[in-house]
Amino acid sequence: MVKINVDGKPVEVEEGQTVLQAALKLGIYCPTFCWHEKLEPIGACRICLVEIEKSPKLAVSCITKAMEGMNVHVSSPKAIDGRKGVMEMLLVNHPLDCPTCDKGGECDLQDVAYYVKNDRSRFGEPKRRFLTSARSTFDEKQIGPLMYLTMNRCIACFKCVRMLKEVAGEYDLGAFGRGVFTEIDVVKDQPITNEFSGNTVEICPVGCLTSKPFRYAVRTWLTQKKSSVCGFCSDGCNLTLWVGGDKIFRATSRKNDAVDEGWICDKGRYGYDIVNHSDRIKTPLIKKNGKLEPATWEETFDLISNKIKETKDKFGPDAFAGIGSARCSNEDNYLFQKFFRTVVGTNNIDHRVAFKRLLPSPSSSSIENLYTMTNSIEELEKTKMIVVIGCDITSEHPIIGLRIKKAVNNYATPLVLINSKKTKLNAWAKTEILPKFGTEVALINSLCNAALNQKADQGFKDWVKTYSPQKVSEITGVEANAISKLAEEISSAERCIFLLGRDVLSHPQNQELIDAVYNLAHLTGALNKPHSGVNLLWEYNNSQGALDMGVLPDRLPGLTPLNQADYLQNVEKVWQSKISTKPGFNIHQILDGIDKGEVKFLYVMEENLVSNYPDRKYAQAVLAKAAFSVVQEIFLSETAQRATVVLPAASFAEKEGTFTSVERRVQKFQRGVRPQNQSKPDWQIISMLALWMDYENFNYDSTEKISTEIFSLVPSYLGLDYKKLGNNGAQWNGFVSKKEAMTYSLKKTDLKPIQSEQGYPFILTTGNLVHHCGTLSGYSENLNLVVNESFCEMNQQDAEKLGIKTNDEIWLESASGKIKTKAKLSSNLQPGMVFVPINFKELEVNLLMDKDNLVDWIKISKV
Amino acid sequence: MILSEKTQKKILAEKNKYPQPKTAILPALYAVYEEFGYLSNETMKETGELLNIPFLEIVEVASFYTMFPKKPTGKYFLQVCTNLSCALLGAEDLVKHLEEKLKVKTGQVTPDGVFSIGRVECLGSCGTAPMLQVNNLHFQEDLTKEKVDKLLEELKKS
Ligand code: SF4
Ligand code: SF4
Ligand code: FES
Ligand code: FES
Repeated sequence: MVKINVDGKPVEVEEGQTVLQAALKLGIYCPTFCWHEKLEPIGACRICLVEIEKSPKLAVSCITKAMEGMNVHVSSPKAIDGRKGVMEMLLVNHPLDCPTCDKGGECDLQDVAYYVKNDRSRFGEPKRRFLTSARSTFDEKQIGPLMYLTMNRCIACFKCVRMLKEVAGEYDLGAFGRGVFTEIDVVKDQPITNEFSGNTVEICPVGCLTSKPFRYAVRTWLTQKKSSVCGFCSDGCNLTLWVGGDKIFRATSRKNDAVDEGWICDKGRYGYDIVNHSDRIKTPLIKKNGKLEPATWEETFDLISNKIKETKDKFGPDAFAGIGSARCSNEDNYLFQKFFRTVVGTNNIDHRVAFKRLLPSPSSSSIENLYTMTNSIEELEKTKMIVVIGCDITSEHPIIGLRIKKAVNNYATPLVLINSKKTKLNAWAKTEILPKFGTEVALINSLCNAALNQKADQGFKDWVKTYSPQKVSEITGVEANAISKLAEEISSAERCIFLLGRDVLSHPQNQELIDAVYNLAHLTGALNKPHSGVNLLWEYNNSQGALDMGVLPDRLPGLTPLNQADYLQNVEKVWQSKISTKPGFNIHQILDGIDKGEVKFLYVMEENLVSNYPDRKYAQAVLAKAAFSVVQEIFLSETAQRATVVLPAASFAEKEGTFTSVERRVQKFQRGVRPQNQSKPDWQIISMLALWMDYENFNYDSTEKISTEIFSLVPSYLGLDYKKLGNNGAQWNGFVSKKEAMTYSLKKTDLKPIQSEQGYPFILTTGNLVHHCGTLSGYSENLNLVVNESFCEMNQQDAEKLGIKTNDEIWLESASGKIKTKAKLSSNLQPGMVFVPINFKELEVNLLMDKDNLVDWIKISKV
Repeated sequence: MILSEKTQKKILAEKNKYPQPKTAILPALYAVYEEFGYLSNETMKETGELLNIPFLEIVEVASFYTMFPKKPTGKYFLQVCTNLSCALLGAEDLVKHLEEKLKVKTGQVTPDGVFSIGRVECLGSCGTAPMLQVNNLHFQEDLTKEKVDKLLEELKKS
């Protein structure tokens, strides 16, 4: 530690910290432009000048290291005068077009000019001008689908390009030329579209970079700021929503160092406009003569409650089924399952609609099926090796991707990517392993074989020996010595974090693959070393929460088995109701049940079954057969269109509650705007419906009341305090300790080779695009400005053989269906594989899927 | 590739010289400049590919250094230093003189392709200001209009 004095006050800072940081630590204001907490300081703007005793010149505080005994003056006349001079220079060329500048009111240059209070300039020369054309008035140009540049306002702090290069590793915005004519710009024919582009707008100190959706939309002082949490991917970035009336004007980051470090991706930043989309369902709807007609809430509650009573009397509680949502809050999901378990009396509930092969329900107490992220995002910085398996991290989990880049850049953490296709993150990888799709289990077994030690008994050893590097090399297409080398690296890593993503979750051998990774982690010690472990990354903003709240056919809240007597008793007491211990139908059994006529009543909360179920035709057919279906939704989705009753639900920005992020972080989000039209928060709809049916213990008048019930009942959430979740959230823990992990028993996870299908030579894989998330973001007009067209990515050589070029229209055809899209040639995919994004509802990609085939084989032809 | 094999080889050799690949950008651009006399988007793109450095970064570096012309130049590219010392000793007059004499503006090439005029920042030859350099190679120092005329004659002849 170093002791210094700033303005006469003593302060201690760590060795290597700057004078500026010392001042900030004391709460002493010192203006800055080019300095940013998360970027390397470069000392470019000089506005942070301070006086240091015994130093002949004023010092640039953001790059001057604090030295023992320094006497620093931020507020001395000399320092103030120095900063006045710098400000005068900065304003020489700045246009001072504040009256028409969109940044007005939140501009650092304005604020600092006001602070230094110098209203004279000694420079009368014409100002430097970058003209986009001789006749332009504003001198601004669009540099990307969502960004504008007004170069004349730039003060060359370089924060924008530094953020992109240092943090995101993106090179689509640069600083060209030199001196006073330094120009921020894109290069020819390459608009800025990287997924973190919006952060540059947020950190630009002046009105040089502005975003298309927000510029000239509102003056910031007319808006209110609401603390929110992103409603797209599961990373759980903290957002500030800037609202006015019923409209959301923009979303910016709300720094949470444990999660996002103040950066957010463009989905979270620009996707808020789904809330104000004109296609929102406006009123409740009831199907009459095959057409959905507007109705009142009273009518619909009457209809639904009568139907529930009638169906229950006639067919019993198991004629009901409910589908919850990975998008809804913990409170929504908690009430949803409580409704089904108490008011209806069945366990026929699930929310895992997109998976063909369901993993067994997770448990929070046994290492055997702890399907969650066991480490935290922050720990990625502390581990010594990161192994990503089956995940395009940049697209699925942008912010985890940033943390991985940070680990690689700042700590030289070796990154291993085991993916059947190349992803953007491969540029950061030390080791890339590209096994053939479907052979991953053999690869991991082979790594276990090479990493064998005394933790394995003879039986396991004998079995795993059959996965010799040579043999597995033939199966997977990965070189034998690459396998041995990787096993060696993982074994010798002091700490190691495994991240398993979407392609593992939806893998035909998902469970075996996860188990195999657990075997490897156990053998190499990653299960019990600090900052090490196996992490399953669920996809959506509240995937983890929906699991935790027990929207599962065989789990009570807290991932507790139905028959765990002591807990059951407790729950029954709180819920004042008997609970069935008979496991209910999972998602597939629910649909089969409707198909067979056993399930008469289906209730879907914010889940687009038709688009997300891995067999579209079947989902459509089943919905048509459902005797009575209620769909609670934001938009009139393909699923809602087929419902008997549609209830307008409020989006994440119109309600408050908590989400549990991928790293088990329970985070509170505030309501941004009033629910649009007649929509209501999901929890409120359920509670009103239950009250309508006279279930008094559903009398929840606020989210807080539900959260409080959750936090006093659900094991892993015990003791959380709704009021205290505001800023950083809290992670639930309470799963197996590192010591217990030692008792893990190795499993024999055999490879089951996938069977090819005659006449259908390509394997279909799906996923999210960098700018979209599920089918919801497709409603975002902002995000659609970046990408709004689906495509089928395919291997270059495959395409050449078929005479297909990029942008050619092609048919994708499976035994189940046929869809048309455009081809995109790529060298990222191995021959025989194609990739189609799931984000565009027009492209009904699940028409190609058959729920009974774990692998979707297709053929491709030119239109 | 537009870059000749020789230039490509040179660039790849530079790439292996330094622990930081970025260090090779300048020497690589010199090689490109030597072959073409200027840097085009296409040649810079290829340089980036060879060095495995984003195109944008190559353009950034190239744009910082005024001695790399970004447009074709004449056989003799005359870059007049217009920085402080030279400016004080009449550099602007020299530029004007050259423009009049060659009947082209700064940044343009004479129709016969022999000359082009440019400006350059301080070349560290302030003691002999004003000065210009020919093709990034030869300094012409202590200049006067007469010396410039003589220089033009000589260059025309060679
Ligand atoms: S555009 Fe903004 S952030 Fe970028 S250098 Fe200029 S002032 Fe700084
Ligand atoms: S989509 Fe994910 S990474 Fe992007 S802002 Fe939202 S939570 Fe963060
Ligand atoms: S903030 Fe210190 S030099 Fe810019
Ligand atoms: S100013 Fe011209 S050489 Fe230095």
